[in-house]
Amino acid sequence: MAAIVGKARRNPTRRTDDGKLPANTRPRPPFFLMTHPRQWAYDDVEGDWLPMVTQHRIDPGALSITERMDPTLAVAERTRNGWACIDPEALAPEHMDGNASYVLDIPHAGGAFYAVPFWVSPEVKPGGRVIDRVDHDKRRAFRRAVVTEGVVPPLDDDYKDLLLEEARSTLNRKVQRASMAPPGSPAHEDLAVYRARFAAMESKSGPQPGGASKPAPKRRRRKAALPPVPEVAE
Amino acid sequence: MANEFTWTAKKGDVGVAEIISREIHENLYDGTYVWSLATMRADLSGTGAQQVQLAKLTRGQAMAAANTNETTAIANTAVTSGNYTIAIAVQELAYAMTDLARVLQPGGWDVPLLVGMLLEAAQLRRNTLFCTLADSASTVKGTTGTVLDVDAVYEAQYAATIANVPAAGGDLILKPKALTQFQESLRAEGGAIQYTPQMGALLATKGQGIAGTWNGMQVWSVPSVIDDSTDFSNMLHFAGATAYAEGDLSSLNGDGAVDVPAGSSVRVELDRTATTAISAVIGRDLCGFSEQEDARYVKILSAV
Repeated sequence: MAAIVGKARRNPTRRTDDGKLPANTRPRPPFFLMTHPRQWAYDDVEGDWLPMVTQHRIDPGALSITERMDPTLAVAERTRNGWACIDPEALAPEHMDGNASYVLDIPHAGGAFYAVPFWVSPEVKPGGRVIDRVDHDKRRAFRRAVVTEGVVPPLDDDYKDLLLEEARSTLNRKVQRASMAPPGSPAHEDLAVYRARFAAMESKSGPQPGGASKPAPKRRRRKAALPPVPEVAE
Repeated sequence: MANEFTWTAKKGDVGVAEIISREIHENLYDGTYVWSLATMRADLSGTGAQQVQLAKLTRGQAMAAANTNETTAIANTAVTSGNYTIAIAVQELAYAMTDLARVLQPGGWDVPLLVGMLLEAAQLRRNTLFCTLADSASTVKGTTGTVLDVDAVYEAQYAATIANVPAAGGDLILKPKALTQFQESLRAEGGAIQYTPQMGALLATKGQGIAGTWNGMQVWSVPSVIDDSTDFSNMLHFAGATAYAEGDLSSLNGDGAVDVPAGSSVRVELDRTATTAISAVIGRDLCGFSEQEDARYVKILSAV
């Protein structure tokens, strides 16, 4: 429009909406984070197991969130189902990039919520599209800190066994694929990478409260009873 | 309709202008109403509460052998039960237009159109509430920050099977981007189990959003699937996993009488402010969605 009406018609003052996300940006309601004892994932960069943090949206009408956005009932229900709900101020600011809470509400020109965790920075790109830039290092550090600071219990050995069973199933599938592929094919490279990953998964047990590392538990009978993964010529 | 596009020199500009003003192109929008996969469990109208607690019962308890001494009395076994809560909340949207709209907007851009759009808006909001439930599933498959592949979907099916959910008949609810990743992964797969794209008959029955069937599941492409900026919360949903409750919205008339719509949770009202020459169409829906049984659905992660 400015190009059509000419420079002289432009308002030289800053608009009040400057610095806010465009009004048509899809809102993001506030949330609290939670972890489940069974939801752990091996992180390749960290080289260890980390808890998966899930956003529980505080969106009225979903998952026991009331019209007044009261999460009390939702926290009670999730806790009863085994989740560990993390208070937004449970960690010290040094673990949350200097923020007092892990939830940041980004100003939205439409007045809507745009709540993101501190490791997400929304950027307005040319054309008006909003891209959420994720700092994976900060996210990873937070996932580790909730355990080392004692907010979330560490990985249970039996749950780790279940996760390893699934990983072993994936490894077996990759072995099958590699066995049908010619030597030097991507399937063989994929198998070699995953085999190394699986070995690391077995040897690690995730962060512990206080930050101390815990030695991997000795092999149990249940794992020993699993069929060995056949070798494939690579 | 076809005859309207015969603008030629014979008809003249007046005819063309009239025809064009009657045509409205509808941009793409999400017409998928996947929320109805949840089970309707309660109507809270007149109950005096916006929350309902519903009981859960676990059947299937097998008998045990009697005590061998034949004299010990049988001990009582408690019936396994639990409960869950649904909280309902008002959802709303309003469209307003000035009196000039009848002059400036194309024909057909009027109150009935906006009422129809509000009804769609209620459905879309329910979609979002329904898709939000994925995040409370305790079973999660797929890897954070990784594109969706066939393995993750298989693993979700295996998890459902292990939980004793009948394997066939599930609904795979995917973000459109996740659907393309799934299809891309399928291209590399061989064997007898293949993806069946939706056909006209299926599309006509299920409406927009049904993308096909694969391995006994109906595959849906749903833009309302939520994300946490890192991963989409797709889900494999089986009947009974989720539930919703509603309430009728009623209002007081000017004479004090209570106006109750006929058994619908969605209410559309018209409002006229003469001083500002604005006619508004306001829609409200009173509903709430909640997880009913955790074992019946699986969250599937895929990269944003």
